[in-house]
Amino acid sequence: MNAYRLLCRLRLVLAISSAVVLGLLTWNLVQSRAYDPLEATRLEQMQLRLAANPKDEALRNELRALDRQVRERHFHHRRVALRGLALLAVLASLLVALHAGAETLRPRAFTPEPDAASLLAESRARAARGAYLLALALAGILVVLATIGRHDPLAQYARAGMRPEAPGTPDRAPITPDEPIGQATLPPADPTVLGPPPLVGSLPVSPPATRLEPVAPPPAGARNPSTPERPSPGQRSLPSLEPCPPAGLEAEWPRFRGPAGNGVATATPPLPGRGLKVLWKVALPLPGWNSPIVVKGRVLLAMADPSRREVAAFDAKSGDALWRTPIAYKEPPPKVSQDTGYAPSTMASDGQRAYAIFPDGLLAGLDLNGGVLWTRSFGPLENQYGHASSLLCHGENVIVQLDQGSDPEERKSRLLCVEGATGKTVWQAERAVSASWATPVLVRVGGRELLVAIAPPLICAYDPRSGEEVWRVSGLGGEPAPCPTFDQHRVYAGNLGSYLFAIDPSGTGDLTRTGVLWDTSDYLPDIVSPLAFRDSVFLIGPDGTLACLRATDGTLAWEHRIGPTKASPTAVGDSVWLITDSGRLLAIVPGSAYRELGAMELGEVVRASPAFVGDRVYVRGQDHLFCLGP
Amino acid sequence: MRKSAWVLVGIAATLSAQGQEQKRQPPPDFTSGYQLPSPTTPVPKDALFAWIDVGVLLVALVLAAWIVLCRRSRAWLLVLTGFCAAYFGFYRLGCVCSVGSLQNVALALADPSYRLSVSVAAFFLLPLLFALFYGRVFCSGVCPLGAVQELVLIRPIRIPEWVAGPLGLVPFLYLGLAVLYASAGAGFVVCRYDPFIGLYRLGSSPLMAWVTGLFLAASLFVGRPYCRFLCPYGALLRVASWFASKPARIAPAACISCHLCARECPYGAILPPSPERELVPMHELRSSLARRLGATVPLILLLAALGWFAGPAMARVHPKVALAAELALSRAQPDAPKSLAVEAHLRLGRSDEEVWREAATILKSFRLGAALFGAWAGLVVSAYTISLALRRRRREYVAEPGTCLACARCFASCPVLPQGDRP
Repeated sequence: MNAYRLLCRLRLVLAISSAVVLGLLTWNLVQSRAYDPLEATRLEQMQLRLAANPKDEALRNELRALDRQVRERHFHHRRVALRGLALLAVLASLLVALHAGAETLRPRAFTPEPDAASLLAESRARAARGAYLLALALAGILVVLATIGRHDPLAQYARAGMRPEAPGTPDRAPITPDEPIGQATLPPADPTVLGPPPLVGSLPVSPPATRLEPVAPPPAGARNPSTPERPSPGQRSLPSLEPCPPAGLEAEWPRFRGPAGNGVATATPPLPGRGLKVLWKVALPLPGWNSPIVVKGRVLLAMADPSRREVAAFDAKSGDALWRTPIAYKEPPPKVSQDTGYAPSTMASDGQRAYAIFPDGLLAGLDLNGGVLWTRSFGPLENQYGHASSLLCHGENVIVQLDQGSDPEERKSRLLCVEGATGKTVWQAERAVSASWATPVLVRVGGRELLVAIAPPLICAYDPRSGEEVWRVSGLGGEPAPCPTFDQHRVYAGNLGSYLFAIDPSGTGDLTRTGVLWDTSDYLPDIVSPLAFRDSVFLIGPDGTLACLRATDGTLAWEHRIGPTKASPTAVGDSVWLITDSGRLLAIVPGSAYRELGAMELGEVVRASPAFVGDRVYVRGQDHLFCLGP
Repeated sequence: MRKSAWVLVGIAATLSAQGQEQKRQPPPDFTSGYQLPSPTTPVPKDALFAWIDVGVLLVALVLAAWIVLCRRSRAWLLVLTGFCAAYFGFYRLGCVCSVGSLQNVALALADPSYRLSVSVAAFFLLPLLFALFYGRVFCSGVCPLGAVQELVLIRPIRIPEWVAGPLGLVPFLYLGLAVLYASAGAGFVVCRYDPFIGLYRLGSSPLMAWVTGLFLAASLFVGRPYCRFLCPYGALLRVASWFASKPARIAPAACISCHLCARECPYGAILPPSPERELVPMHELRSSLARRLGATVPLILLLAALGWFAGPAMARVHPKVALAAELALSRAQPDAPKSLAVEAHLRLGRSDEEVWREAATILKSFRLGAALFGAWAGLVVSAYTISLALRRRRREYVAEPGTCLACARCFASCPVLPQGDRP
């Protein structure tokens, strides 16, 4: 038998084998249709019956058994299909290879082409007609598209939207914009304070808070950098912003991201890798991703697991455990994601007391010796990952951001000011926003204190003494966890899935059109708060890319990949300190290019932002609390 | 043989049917306190991989050129094809690829804020650079999309020139469309409707799974249907190959005009020598050339005008325009279910005018873009028809550089021996 015949026979065997596998796969496919969980009608009927009679335990158990059976069979068929497909792919590959080999060896008889040149000439004469037919077909398609576009209601709206003034009713639109959109449920705006009146068609934006004066709805525009209404950076004089740390705690670390909450430290530790070493390290008894705070020589932390809530204090000099206080609670453990944990919120202190909040809405006030002064429960909170906003103090009061829910119109969200000594509410502002994981920040603008809080769809500034809304910028989206921050002239807020806004906070009312200096949708952080320092804004994206934007216009100065990071950056002296998830602590120069000054490894997972006091750095790792210093 | 072919057709159809199984199952309705694990953000592979890809591409191109021009071995080329399909296709999941990279380049040229990575630029430029010297060696054994079609071609059917020629213009039209949509920020249509990416990623939408099955089934009998009649990057390579300084030559010595190579070529890329006496009289050629030249400007203007009017409808693919359209619909029918995009818009608190204003700007720019696309289509058709009326003398069988995919089939069929091997 020659090689050609052998290959032909092998090819036949493979073809038959492939056909058999093909048949079995088809049979398996037909069978699997009967066990599709999405189309299991019996299962669906049982679910309806159970919904009608939820206490029928027998039916519930029967439903679970059937659900399991359907899923097991479905995935069994799926496994068979995948293995069969792999086998079929192998057989098909062999078949193709054998066929190619057989074709190569196939004896060919030489038969000269009758007249290749004349055939080509004839074919080419017809090819020109074919090309024109193609052009005709394309013209036909374009005519159809043009006809569709001509009668598209969108074109009417677009023409209306293109007018520089407020769009009126389109000429002959089947849908009139006035009709559905003009349902203005909002109070009329004061044009002298709030800028131009709302355009027809603005979305209804609910009045912001119980104590607030009516604020105009967000007008159009202002988010796109090319929007003509936006003032260019050089056209306006920017206000001077000042931090508002708690009195007497300017050199301490009384809240998340330092005394002013903007990630700027007054400490002077040696640089990592250049004299910074581990002074002490203590094991933490319970988990928690919150950051340490340092007040009056104590390092305070919140810790929790599904069954315990605790606050612990360590001696800042020696690391000795000073006290551990369990916080009593009644609520069942909330549903939280692994990244959130049961103690994600950083504590806050006013120098006399310390405050902690947990994802179930349990707020506790303690004295600095570990005694529980009061507790309040705001839970359960509707939050898909678990409440994680941290606390801050204003005078002797505690500010609590309790944004929750998925629909801003449900008005479940609140911003509270609680008396530190008693836990009683001083003021409360209802917020028409959905859930947020960010922490507010306090900033002084022209002698006026502002409390800036963010949650979709708003960036709002409140008077921290009364809870009255001062200004707002709408357009925030996504799931904000990065905190707002500020530098000498601007407030910055934004997160992944939305934009980063640079805002001039000196105005009042709706600043969506007039107050946004620039925005960007690049390099946005998912978890990590931005740092505004020395005319730069540092962002760390979810992929671990550190980006440095120019504060003046938001353009990129440089970027560098540092690896996955959850801890927020801190400005220490002339450098910016970062710590990655793997525990690599590094300091960089806030200059025109990425340059490391030094680095060291802690050898432990770190997600909390470090605290900087004096010449020491306090870092909370996954299992240990570290104190670094000279 | 026909049985084998039908089995392979069945396999292709089954693969596409199984592709429908990619739909996600809903999570079970747990009431036992089980917590679904949180989704994690995968860390992207290091940028080093981009450079490795460029290195592999460069080496593969050099090898392909060497195999085609020096080694003249189809077996070696098949090995390289298999490797490239495995590496660029299954391992790197078909991205980045040179075919899609043209959209990145178009977007980078249109939008200064879009940064084109060096590796993407290299994927775009290197095959074109090689085509300028050696013809379409990228298509011969490096392109993962071509590899699939090359490997499954079992019984090629010769497509007559009068069909293949006009169909060969479609890649140029698709190129214009891809550039229009990419530069307008409307998306990368070439990647979105890549018929073979689902095969490499072992999963795609049901519609694209069927398209994959259809292309695979067609590839059993038609030589590389995607490469010849759709691939927009192939259009660029075709143009670059016309200027190739050292393209593949069929006969290693003087051609004996035996026609065996032309019969072996599944792509109809081999042209016969010119007849001794011209079949079409010169005056006929001249008059048809004059007619086609005269039709050029009207055809370009007509298609440009039609493109201008069709622009708004073509812009509906743009996500911002699609949102504006859905918003208009939801405003007209407030009780109708809203799309996800409209719900997101409502939650963001943006005004409708802002959306419509953006859409209007895009519609306006699309008018111009679509008009340019129409003009481009007219130019392509005219240039092709004019080229048909031009006479070129060929003394032997030659592979037309633009359509020759350098598959090396013709080398084995050529009975001419190299000068050094002659007895």
